[in-house]
Amino acid sequence: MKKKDFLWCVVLAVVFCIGLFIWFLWGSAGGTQVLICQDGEELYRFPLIVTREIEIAGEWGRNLVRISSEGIRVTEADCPDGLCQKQGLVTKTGVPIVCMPHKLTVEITGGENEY
Amino acid sequence: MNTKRLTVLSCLLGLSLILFTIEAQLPPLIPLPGVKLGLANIVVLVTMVLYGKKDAFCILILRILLGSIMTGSGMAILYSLAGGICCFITMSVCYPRGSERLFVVSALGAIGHHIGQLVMAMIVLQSKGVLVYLPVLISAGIIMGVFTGICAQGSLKQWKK
Repeated sequence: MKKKDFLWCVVLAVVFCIGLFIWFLWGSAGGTQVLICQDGEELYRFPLIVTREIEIAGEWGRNLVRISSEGIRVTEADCPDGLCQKQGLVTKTGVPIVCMPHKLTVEITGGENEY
Repeated sequence: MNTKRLTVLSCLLGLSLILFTIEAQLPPLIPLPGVKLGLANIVVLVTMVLYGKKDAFCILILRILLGSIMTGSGMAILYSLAGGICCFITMSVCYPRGSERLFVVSALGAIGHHIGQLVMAMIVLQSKGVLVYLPVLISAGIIMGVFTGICAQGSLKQWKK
């Protein structure tokens, strides 16, 4: 029994490491566009270089998204958990900032030729 | 006998509601959608061991419904339900084989919980983008699941005394 316990610990640890590994390797720098979607529909598409702030207010609530050459970030939100704000600055492609209560996703995408 | 069972079960439900509400007040440990400790799952695990699957399921569903009313977030109930049911299915499949290793059962349950939540998020947000969170959510689920599993084992040890 003790041996089986140990085996399970190893399996769980390995899966844990693989998960973290994939997470940190995922996505790539060098996105050029920002895509903002709500409820599955594309709302805006902006170039990443220009610094700007966009307010998304609708029937679900309000979010303030800040776009700059560094990356994207949700600066203000009135959702109950505020997780989208705490996620901070996102610089890589393919990792969306998600605001679950407002059905909002903000992500960096590549140019036209990739992704 | 029946009265005792009813009383204990309602105490357990109350306990899981308390844990659920306290957890909702805590600041999130990791700034990722859907990652939480899952303290209330300790109670579901304990109930599963003491009274079997049926009662554990009742406690889970009632806790989600009542808890969502109390914390007052409408959208969250969808995610909680999807996650909770997936978690329960995983745990009830694993439990008969791993009753001595509750931490494994609960870790697998936590992974199930995250997968259920992600599927619900994909349906609600109508985007596959959230799938990138799957690996890191599985990792987080293992940590939280092992933690709650150890807690459940500890509580059961005290219970039997």
